Amino acid sequence: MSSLSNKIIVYLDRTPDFQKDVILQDDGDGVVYIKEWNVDEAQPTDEQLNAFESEADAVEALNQVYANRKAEYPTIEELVVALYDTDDKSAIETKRAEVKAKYPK
Amino acid sequence: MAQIKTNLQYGVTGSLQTGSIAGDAIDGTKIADDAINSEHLAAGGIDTAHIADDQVTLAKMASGTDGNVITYDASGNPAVVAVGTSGHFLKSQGAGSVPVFAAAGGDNTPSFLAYRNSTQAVASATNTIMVFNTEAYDGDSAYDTTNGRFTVPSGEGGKYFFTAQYVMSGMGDGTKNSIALWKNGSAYTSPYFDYDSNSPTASTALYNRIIGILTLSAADYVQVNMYQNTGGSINTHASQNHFGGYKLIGI
Repeated sequence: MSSLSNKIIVYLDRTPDFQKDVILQDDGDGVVYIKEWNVDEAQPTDEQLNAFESEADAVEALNQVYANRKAEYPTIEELVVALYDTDDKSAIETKRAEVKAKYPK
Repeated sequence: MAQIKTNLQYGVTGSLQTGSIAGDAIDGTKIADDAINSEHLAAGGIDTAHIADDQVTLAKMASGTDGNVITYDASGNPAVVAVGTSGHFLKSQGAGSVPVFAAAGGDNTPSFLAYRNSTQAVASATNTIMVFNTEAYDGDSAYDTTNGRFTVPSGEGGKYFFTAQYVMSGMGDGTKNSIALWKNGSAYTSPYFDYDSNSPTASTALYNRIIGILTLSAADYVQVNMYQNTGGSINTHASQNHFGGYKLIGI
């Protein structure tokens, strides 16, 4: 089940400022609701947002892919070293390809 | 007449009548030393002028209750400050009021400390109240483990010190993570108590800490708010967290 923020991103077709334009709230019980809606577009109903469930799931999954890839990609330090060594550069390219294959879009 | 003259002249015992003594005629030389007892004095007849300075000793004062203190009331009459609790000090209540025995400067209560012993999910881009579900102590029962609220008890308004912490990891690099003290359901903005951090790597555990001094009135409540914007739900760690506070005195 996708998060409310991703449903709103799909609904608006952009990412609003979630600390100013659209403020979401969880009072500690795990139930997320819209506390403030400060954008020009009409505030969607729950039914309208739920209609974007699958698209929001895709956004969330894609975010997870990016996060996973970032976590396992070579570090900046490894890339710098590879600039001066052909073997290291080859190893970096191999590692990157493996990560992309591990977390496909 | 001849008999009366004879009696006065010759001092016949018991023969002198009160009416025969002129007003103000008996002076000190006619009264023997240590001869007048209190029965010969009118009640309340001794005025201040007839008590010499430095003559009223402690032994001449009436007995009282052990520990009481003599003072004056609003009418200027002598009064007693009742004995206080052991360790208390004599405290002025200002002009027109009798002092009282009271604790020195009060104490730092209400006070509480709570923590959470399980993870809590934080949805992306969502202000999330952290519910610290276990109390270490809470002398005034002011903290609620079901909703994460510390509520100021009646009569306990003032300035409070708060501290809080939670840990989160598994975030993408550069994503935002924050902690803030909220008052009555909104961010405390005067001044603002909010701490933001950015995750350097996904594996880094971010320790989000906040301290603050809030001015509160009775029935105001304070909570800890969390925020992250990774795009997905992230759990807090199940340990290394706390929320505590206490009332400040003297300010």
